[in-house]
Amino acid sequence: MSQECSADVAAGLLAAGEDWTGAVEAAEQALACPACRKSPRCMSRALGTLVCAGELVAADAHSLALLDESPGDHVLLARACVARRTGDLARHSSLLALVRPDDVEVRPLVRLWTVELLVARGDLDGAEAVLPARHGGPLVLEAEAVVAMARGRPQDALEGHLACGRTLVENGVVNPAVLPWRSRAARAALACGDSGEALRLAMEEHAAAARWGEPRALGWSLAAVAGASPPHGEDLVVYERAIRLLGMAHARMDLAEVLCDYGDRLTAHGKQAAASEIYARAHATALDVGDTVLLRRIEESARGAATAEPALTPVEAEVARLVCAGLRNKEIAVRLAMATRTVELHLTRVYRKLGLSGRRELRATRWAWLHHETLRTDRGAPGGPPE
Amino acid sequence: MTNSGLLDELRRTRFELVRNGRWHEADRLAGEAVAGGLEPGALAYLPGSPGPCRTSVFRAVQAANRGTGRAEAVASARHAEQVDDGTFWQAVTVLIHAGENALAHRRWTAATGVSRDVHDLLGGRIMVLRGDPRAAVRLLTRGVRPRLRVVAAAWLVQALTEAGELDRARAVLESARPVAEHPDSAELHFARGRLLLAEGRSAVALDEFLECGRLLAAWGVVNPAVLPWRSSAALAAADTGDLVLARICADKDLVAARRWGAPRGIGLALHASALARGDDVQLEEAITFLTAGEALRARHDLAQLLLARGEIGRARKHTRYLREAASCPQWTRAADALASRLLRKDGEAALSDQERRIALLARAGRSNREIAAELGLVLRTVEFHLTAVYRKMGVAGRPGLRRAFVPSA
Repeated sequence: MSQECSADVAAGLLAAGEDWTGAVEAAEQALACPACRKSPRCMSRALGTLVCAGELVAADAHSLALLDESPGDHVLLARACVARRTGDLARHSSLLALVRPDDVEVRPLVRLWTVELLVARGDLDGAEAVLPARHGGPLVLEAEAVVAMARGRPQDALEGHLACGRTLVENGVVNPAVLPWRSRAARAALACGDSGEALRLAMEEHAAAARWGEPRALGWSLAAVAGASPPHGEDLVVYERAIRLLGMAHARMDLAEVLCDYGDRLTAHGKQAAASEIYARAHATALDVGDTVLLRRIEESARGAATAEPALTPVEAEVARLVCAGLRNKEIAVRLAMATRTVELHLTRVYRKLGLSGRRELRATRWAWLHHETLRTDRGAPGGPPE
Repeated sequence: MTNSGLLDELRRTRFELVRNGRWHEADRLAGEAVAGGLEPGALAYLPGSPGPCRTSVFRAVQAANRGTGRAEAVASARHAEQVDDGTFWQAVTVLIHAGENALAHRRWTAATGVSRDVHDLLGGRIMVLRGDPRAAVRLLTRGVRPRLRVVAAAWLVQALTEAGELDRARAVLESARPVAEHPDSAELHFARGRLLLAEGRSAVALDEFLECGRLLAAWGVVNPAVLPWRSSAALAAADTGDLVLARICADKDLVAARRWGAPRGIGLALHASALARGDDVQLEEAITFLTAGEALRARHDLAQLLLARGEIGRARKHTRYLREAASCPQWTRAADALASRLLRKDGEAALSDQERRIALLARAGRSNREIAAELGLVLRTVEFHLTAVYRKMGVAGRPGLRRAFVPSA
């Protein structure tokens, strides 16, 4: 063929992530081309582009027509992807089960999604069993990182996400709509206490998502920016914008998670009433989607916000106070007669509850101090810290 | 199961399918149900829907909502024998969505045996598109049956807004308190958004458009020809300075409008995209797709863009077109305002650096007090500079400022 195949054009534009309109129109051209329609490779590229562009109604119609015409793993996979993006986890999982696992073309993607599904259901052992013994391409690295994060090994997760991203970028895939590895890495970096790195990664993803111009990827990256920002007012506005975009994109799975994060952040700001409203929305959405792990997290957070007790336990508040006073973990452990590991554990909870990303931020906020004052003067009395 | 029980059940199943991203299966289900004799208005987005219609016309309605297969949809709408209010309403609606305005008008003039209110309402719709909002207002104020009240109010508000009668539009809107969950409330949200946009209250307008979009998404409507809420949201977003959101909304509508192929949707999306990017060539292209008031608005925005950029000659040419074509007072006024600014050859280029800085902050929604704090000036100085900015830009105040400036990405 003298002319370049439209499906290849679409895939190229998707990877580069700068011409949304061009990518969608090339994909639809490929779907209208009789030669391309016969090639599973072309169809998988065209459908994949439509899904990553958020043109889900078109992807649904085309994949359903193809299913009648020439069924195959690539069509099933595309339909599984549409189900996943709209937050129908049950159908996503049953469609995924129909794909033959021995197909080399689709295996890495099937594996990544299976891992993510199992993690969302809290089956970490099952997820680990799916991982291959040998190291593989970017999608395997990503799957390993997802499991590491769920296992509470954020350092490994961070390295995994970054390695996945490096491989993708080397292959010219810079569009976060294909795989949002930067925001996931940002989450891991936050859990490691490196808020600077987290914010840098999130901002980078946000810039790339804005170039692509699809609301889901943009909303997701904004949420990462908000999550990595210190809790000083602007972060709430950014969360609101992220939620609006994810709503527009009908991305219920992401929406549930971001709503939960937003609730946590509102709680950290001492806005308990607003937080419980957001938790209710998060809960309804997560229930709808069927993400059990997230549901548990939301229920826990909502309980924490609903009780009028201060957000930090007395021990956590004491640890936070000592950190602010400049003590190191080891010194705190000696003073409070506990293991260093326990101090670390308390601190992790403090960061999560206050929506902080690490020691430096904790020291920078007056929040912990104010909070501790409330605790000391009227322990057990209802009412949050002053704003 | 009774007929209405069955209908409720089907309706619920349909919404559930759409919620889970199974648009095509939802359409199939609705198509079969209507072929079996069930009420179409409950199974597809069909504002007004005065009654049942032919199956072939219902398929055309579905195609229009989906935004694919325009030629077939037009053919079924065109050849549907008119036997009742429902078929007439649905067929004319499809013709309007498909951009077949002349055909729709002919069908409307030749209609016999159609209820008076159904005929009036569709006439109002057609008159707005033909660039005669005053005739539309007359048709839309003659009273309708309860079922059509929401859609009649929404279209009347739109016609009044088009005619520049914003106070009257506001009064109609306030008397038509929306019933929650009314099937036609998307139309009302859209009309309110358009009015707010004309009043310069873009941030609130944006919320209305997004709510309209949420309701349409629940029905699985993607075609901007049905309601161009994304293009309108893009205008509102560009006004508030959120150019990324503006671009996203405009692009999505542009792709969908090209897929459907009716010129109006393409023109509106191009207009929105051009404003989000400050692209005068795209705005010129938009004008070629638009008619009536919508073409005038695009022409006005083009002249404004060129003026702000200092391309006085081209700005003058488009202002002249605008004045010659203006059919109602609001566009004559707009042309006069542009002309007086052209006469002074002012505009953005005439601003001093300090004035420009202040103008940009004001455009971004900062209050005078905030600007003063940010630039380390006293409040009085900020006010003084802003007055000069308003004079040089030929605008009346902050909302005008938003429109007069070239968006910079």
